[in-house]
This record gives sequence, structure tokens and C-alpha cells, in this order.
Amino acid sequence: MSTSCMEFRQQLEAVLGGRPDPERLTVLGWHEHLLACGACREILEQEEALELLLASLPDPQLPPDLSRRLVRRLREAESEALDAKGGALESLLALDEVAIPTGLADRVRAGVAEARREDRLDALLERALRVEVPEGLGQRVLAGLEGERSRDRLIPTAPQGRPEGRLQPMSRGVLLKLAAAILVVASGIALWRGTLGPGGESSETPSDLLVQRQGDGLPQMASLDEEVIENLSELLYWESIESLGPMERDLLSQLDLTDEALLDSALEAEGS
Amino acid sequence: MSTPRTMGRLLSAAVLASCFSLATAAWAGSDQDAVRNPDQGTTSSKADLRKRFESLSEEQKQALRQRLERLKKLPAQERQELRAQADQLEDMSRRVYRNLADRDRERLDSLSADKRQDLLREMALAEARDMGRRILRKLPQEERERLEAAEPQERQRLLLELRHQMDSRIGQTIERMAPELGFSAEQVKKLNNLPSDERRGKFLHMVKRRCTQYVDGKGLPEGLEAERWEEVKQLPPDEFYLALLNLRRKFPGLARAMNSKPGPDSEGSARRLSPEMQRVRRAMEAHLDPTERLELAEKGRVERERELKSRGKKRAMAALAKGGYVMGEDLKRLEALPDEVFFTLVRRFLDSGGKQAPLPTRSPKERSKRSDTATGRSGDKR
Repeated sequence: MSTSCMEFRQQLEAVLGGRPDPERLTVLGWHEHLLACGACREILEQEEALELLLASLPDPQLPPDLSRRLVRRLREAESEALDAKGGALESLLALDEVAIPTGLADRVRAGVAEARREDRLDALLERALRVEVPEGLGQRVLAGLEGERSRDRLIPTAPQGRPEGRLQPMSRGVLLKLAAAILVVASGIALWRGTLGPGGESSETPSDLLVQRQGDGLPQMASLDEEVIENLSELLYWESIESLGPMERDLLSQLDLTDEALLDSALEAEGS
Repeated sequence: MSTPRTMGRLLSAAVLASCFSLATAAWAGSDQDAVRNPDQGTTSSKADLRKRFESLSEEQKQALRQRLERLKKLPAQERQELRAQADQLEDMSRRVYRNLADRDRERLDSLSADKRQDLLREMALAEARDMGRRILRKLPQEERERLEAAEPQERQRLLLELRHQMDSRIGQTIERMAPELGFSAEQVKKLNNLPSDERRGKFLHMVKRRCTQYVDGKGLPEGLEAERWEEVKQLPPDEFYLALLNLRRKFPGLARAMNSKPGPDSEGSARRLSPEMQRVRRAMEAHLDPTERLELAEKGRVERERELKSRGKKRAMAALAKGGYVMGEDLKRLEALPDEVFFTLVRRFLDSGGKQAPLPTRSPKERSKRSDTATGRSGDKR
């Protein structure tokens, strides 16, 4: 074995002696000595394959429900101990850790009532929007208007022929009422869309309202959840980013497709 | 008498007002609909996020709360880096979404908002990972070695330096490409005087123009539909470039449009891979294929990743066997390796242009005696 082989293998031993890290082996893989020495290449490959195998083994994980079961078991044990002292009722009271905020029941009832009111409004609007326009209404409105104009000009007009079974031309009063009704319905819809609809500023669902109102007792949790929702995209991306290796993460933050295109062009220039 | 006229006007005003109110109401409603713009698949409204959060189990919510607490405790610089990485992934999501074939986009849009966002994030992550690998392969060997050897802080510094180098190269590259594109000296000067970010954008414009000129002049590669190419041509430059990279997997002839004179680099040699090796490479890329991922949309993320890997592995095994690169017992040994090891070894085989065998010549189990490395064995067995 040559001196350079010895030196290389000592370095390999040094790397393997520390924490197993496939990346450090990869670095060693660029050693100049390997260009000439097949035996050392082979040894390195075998080490790499082993380290990769080791690195690919899954991390031991605790069962997901373990903490909950543990807490339950502890509570049971505590309860048993208290029971043994003869204080069954006291033990039950001692375990009752959930503090119910005052007035919660009223607020829940109010929320439910509001949800019902909204349901009723939805049903009403749905019905209002389903009103069908009688056939030929437009023509009859025009005919009616023409009649009004003719009377205004005091010029007698010939009676208009109408298909049988159709409605009579509407009077001015009916038209006025119709216009007013359309205005009321349209304003109602616009108001509903603006204030209660999903596009408005107060777009909370009834359950949101409930959550916020009962939050008096749990203000921290509610505001934390709001913050989570605010940052949900970033949090989810973070989850993805954490699955990247350190080198991949650094590449992602510093370089992008433009750099790849530039590298392509640079390689092309070198090639030519 | 003015009463009937007033009545008529009143009626018209009422009709107009109601039409306007109804139109406004309808528009306000449609604004909330899922289908509102070509990028709708990539964006989440606050209502979507709220709905998503509320649909999670208490355990998942708790994990997110803890994650938020961790996020808030991060030092400012780390948080900034994280944001930069998240922005990059978000950009990649947009590119991926815009690059989807019509059928895939329809399928993705038909999914619930959270499922859609999960899938897009996965696709973006796969693309970002692949981009990193490609960039590393394209770097000169000594730069790649320095990066791989560097400690984390040093690596970040080197990458920043590399980005600055790239910026300074843009000027020369623009000058080199200008005659081909018919740019005057005046135009080149103007381009080179732009701020760095704008100049990067313009450079990608030039790359797109050169590619389309090349394809329009030489004709489409066999199998690429004119309609698809027209769609790709409509994309903005960064999305176009990603589309080109993806199309190149199916139509290797397109590589010439991106880089008409391949150099003696590993990427160049990868482009000169034999048809069998190209088949192996394609087999390894199941995770980058949106259609494959969408087929598994109903599964959970972990199961989907496992299935995609398993498909890629099976196809790669078949391609390796067909190409005669691995045979007999070695095939069984290769198949028995954990997925990550398998993919690393096959990738190394491809990157070396087939010079490095997909499987180490001796089983890792046999090398457990580390004392061998000290006593040593001599002679090149290759």
C-alpha cells in the first residue's frame, strides 16, 4: 500500500470516527488520490453505501397517542389515591380543571339564534330570487306606458289587441308598486352581500361568532389561533422546507431559475 | 302635464337601479368563487385558510400552534431566510400551476382548496429540489467541491458570492446573445444599465426569445403538439423556462433550443446519454410528473410520496435491467436497498454518464470490518 493510500485511509478513518455524515463522505469523494486508486475508491463507495443505509433508517418515534394516554393514566392514579383516602367527591372536584366562563350558555344560545336568523334570511332571499317574470311582461309594460302617453296627449288611441288568457296591462299604481318592490329586493340583496355575505368585511360564519364570543374565557387560545390562521401559508411552507436538506435549503434561498439559465449560457459559451 | 313622464323616468330609474344593484351583488358573489383568475389555484383567501384550520384535528392544530411559537422565537435573520425560502416555493407553485396541462389543471381545480394547496406545495418542492440538483451539476467541479465541503455559514457565503458572480456574468451573456436576437449596441447598453433584478428579468426574456426563434426556425421536435407549444410560448419568461425544462424530459431534442452548443460538462454529457440511460433518467422522475401526482390526489401526503417513489423505483429497475446495467443477483440487491439509497446510487450512475456502476461492487455488509481500511488492499480492480 502506497503512502498516499495510507494518508487517504487515515482521513477516511478520521471522518468515520466522528459523527456519521454522508455529506462529509461525499466531500472526501472528491479526493485527488481517488482518481488514481481504484482500491480506495471501492472502500469509500462501500462506506458511503453503509452510511446511506444507516441514514435512511427511520427515526424512532413515540406513538402519537402516548402523551394523552399517559396523562389519563396519571389522572386515574391520582384519583385512585384520593379515593383511597376516602375523599371521592373531593377527588372529582380536584380533577375538574376546566373553568367554564360565566355567561357561556347565554352566548351560545345567542349565537345559535343568530345562526337561525341567518338561515331564515337565506331562505327568504332564495325565495325572493326565485320569483319568475310573467311571460310578455316587458311588452305589456311598454304598452301600458304608451297608453299613459296617449292619454296625456289627449289623443284617443285604438284599443290594442291582446292574446287571450294573458294578463291585463298593468296600471300606473301596479307599476309603481312593482318598481318599489324591485328596489327593495335589490337593496336588500346588496345590503346582504355587503354586510352578511362571504365577501363582506364581517364574513364570519356563525361558528366563528360563537368561537369569538366564548373566547372571553379563552382569549389567549383564540388569539393564537387567529395568528396561526394569519400565518398558515408560511407555516405550511415551513413544514415543506424542513423536509429539505441543509444544502437544498441554502440553494433555494440564494439561487433560482435565472441562475440556472445563466449557468446554461455560461456552459454554452465555454463549449463554443 | 308632466306626471306620466315623471312616472316613466321613475320607473326607468328603478329598473336601472335594480339592474345595477343586482349586478353589483352578483359581482360581489362571483368574487368569492373559486374560479376567478388563472392563478386561483395558487392563492388562498383568508376564508380558505380559516376553513382549513378549522377542519384540522385538535392534535394538528396544536402542532401548528407550537410551530407558530417556534417561528416567533426564531432570530430575525433566520425568520427572514425562512420567508425568502417560502417566497421561492410560492413562486415555484405559481410556475408549476401555470405549467400544468389543461387536463391536469382542471383536475387540480376540482379538488378542495386545502388538497389543491397541498399538492401544489408538493409539486413546487419537488421542482425546487430538482432545480438545486441541476444547478449543482452545472457548476464547475471546483466550485461544487468547495460548496459541498463548506460548513453551513461558509456555504451560505459561497452561495451569495456565486449569485453576485452570476449577476456580473449577465452583462457578458446579454452581449453574446444580442447579435443572434438582432439587438443594437444601444439596446444592449440600455439593458446592461438596468438594476440587477430587472436585468435578470430581461435576461430570461432574451432566453425565451432565443428558444422560440430556434424552435420556430428548426421546427417542433417529433411528438410535441403545435397547440401545446403555442400555449408554452404565451407563458411569462420564468414560467416558460420551467416549461422548457419539463418538455426537455420528454423531448430531448429541445435541449438544443436552450443550449445549442453543449460543453464538456456533466450536464452536457448527461444530454448525450444513451437512449437506455435516458429511459432510466425519465423513470426516476415520476415525482416531477404532475399527472402521476394528481392520480394519487386522494391519498395522504406520506402515502403519495411512498407510492411515487415506488413507481419510480420499479421503472428505474426495469430500465436498468433492459439496458443491461445491472443483472442477476445485483438487481435483487439493488431492489432491496432503501429508497433513498437506491435513488442516490442510480442518480450517481446517471450523473457520471454511466461510468460509476449503480451498485457498489461489494455488499455493504461485507465491509463492516473497518480494520480493513487500515490494513488496506492495493490494486485497481476496475
